[in-house]
Amino acid sequence: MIELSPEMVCILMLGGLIVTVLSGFPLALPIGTVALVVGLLAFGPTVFALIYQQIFSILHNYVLLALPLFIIMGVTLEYSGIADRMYDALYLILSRLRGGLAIITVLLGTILAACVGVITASVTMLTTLSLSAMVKRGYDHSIAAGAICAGGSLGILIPPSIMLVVYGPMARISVGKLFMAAMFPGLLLSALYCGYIFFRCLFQPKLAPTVTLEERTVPVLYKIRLLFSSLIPPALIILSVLGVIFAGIAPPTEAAAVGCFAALLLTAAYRKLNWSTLINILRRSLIIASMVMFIGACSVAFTGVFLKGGAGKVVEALVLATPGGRWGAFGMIMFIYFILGFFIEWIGIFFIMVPILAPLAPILGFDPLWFGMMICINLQMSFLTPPYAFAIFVLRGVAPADSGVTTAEIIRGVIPYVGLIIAALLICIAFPQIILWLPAQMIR
Amino acid sequence: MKKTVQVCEAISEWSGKIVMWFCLALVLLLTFEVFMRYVLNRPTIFSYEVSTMIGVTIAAGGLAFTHKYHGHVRVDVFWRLLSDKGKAIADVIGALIFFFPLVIVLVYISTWWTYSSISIGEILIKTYLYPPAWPVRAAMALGLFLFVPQGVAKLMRDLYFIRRNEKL
Repeated sequence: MIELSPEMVCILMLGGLIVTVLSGFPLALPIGTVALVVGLLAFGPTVFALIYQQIFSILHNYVLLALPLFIIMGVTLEYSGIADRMYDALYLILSRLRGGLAIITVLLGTILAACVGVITASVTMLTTLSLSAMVKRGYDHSIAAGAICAGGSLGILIPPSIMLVVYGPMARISVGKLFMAAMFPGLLLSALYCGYIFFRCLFQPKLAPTVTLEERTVPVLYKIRLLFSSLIPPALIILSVLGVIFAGIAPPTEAAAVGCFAALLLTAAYRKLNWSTLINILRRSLIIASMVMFIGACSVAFTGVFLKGGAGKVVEALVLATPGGRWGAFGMIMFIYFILGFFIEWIGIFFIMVPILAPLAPILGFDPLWFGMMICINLQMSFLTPPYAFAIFVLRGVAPADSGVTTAEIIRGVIPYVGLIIAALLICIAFPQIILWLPAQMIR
Repeated sequence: MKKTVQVCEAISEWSGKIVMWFCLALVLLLTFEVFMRYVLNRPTIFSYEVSTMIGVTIAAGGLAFTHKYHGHVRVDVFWRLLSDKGKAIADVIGALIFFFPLVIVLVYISTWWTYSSISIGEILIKTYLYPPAWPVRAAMALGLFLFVPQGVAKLMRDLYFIRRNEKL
């Protein structure tokens, strides 16, 4: 046990975090080990109690129960085959449009986002559904991959999303309010994405050939029926989950449980629910939920040691000392999240950085809700920025080998979306009402 | 060696096969609670505590199973670039530095807390149910404890691959 100054704790822990995490060992364990080692150095064995209580408080937490529940809901919907139906419906309506298939991908991502909320699930579904369809029709690989990665990442922002379920308890904000706040920024991003694809394909028509004539002749009545049968069920699930939260009837955890139940019923109604599907759903849910909760557990242990060592004050002083007043400090915070997004999984970033940085919002005179939402939008970029770009990993993992899409093409396709996310951030700075209007309308 | 790996992985497999049903239980329990509270206006007294206990069981009890299926996310920016043998070597070093010290300490402290919880008769006081606290603490300790043999199995597989250059 040695005397460690707060500055020393800060440097040791953050430096140790970056170095050990990059070792490529499963993320949670290096994070926990850094907490344990620095904690033992600074406080001796008394740190055991701190680490235990931090971990226990995360695992034994009613609000965070929404996390496994939304994961179960997302995985169930992945197995329900609902995405196939929606894709078919959107295809019939929008395929005449130039760049239509890419726009469909983003739209489908937006709708899936509202019912899935787990990025692995939504990117996987989008890839299996639309990648080969686009490649086969001669779409530019970058356009196709970019639409899938960006559209799939929306899943974590548009409510109900597990990112917001984590942000709420960490920053002590109501998860319900966060859900409502994320609604319009999510739709704004989706609109920006679609607009970008539309205009890019308008000016560079060779990127996205239109579909051939024989594919277009489908009776209107059939189109309408397909649209209704595919869009009504997810709409009902979304409304059942978000409606009860908006109306202040039930907290997100209970709404999530009802959403899961509805998703299971829907899967049964589509005749996709049998014993082996159920086992698969539960297996995958368990794996994702346990993985997320373990990263969360080790990360809060990290944050507990970090804050007890006084390093939170160091970060605070550092951020507040940024030139340029409160906007300078805000820019600094955004930059910290942006940089971390290059290297670390968002779950780790959230559990570690939010308790440290969120208390700064009121000090700087920002609305905590708006501040939190800006961070969530900012982290959309973390899925798209290599070297650690989760959406790209998933796409590369799922894409069939014969599609011929290379990593370089994916990265080229994804970069414009980073620009669009920055544009969305600027729009939300100029018009904070995009974020704040809907939560203000909530009952209660 | 082969036998040890098989036994360790069988434990993980079975823990996962049991714990995954808790996911379904969680959904059904909370749906039932919503029905009771908002439709019949008769909320149950036990759902809050029982559901958080299930939550702990899912998170801790799924650790070994998740590790068996490589479900714990890696930041594989550099790791991915290694050869198969390089990956195995990196994982052995990682297991010795990051896995065993941390997990064994966590097993130790969670067992200690379970023990002291039993000996002082600790109860949870968030609801009127006042359940004993030790089952949920024991669930966390047990989940972490089962994580260890899976780590051993993974380590043995990696060592075998490094030595013989073939998968166990």
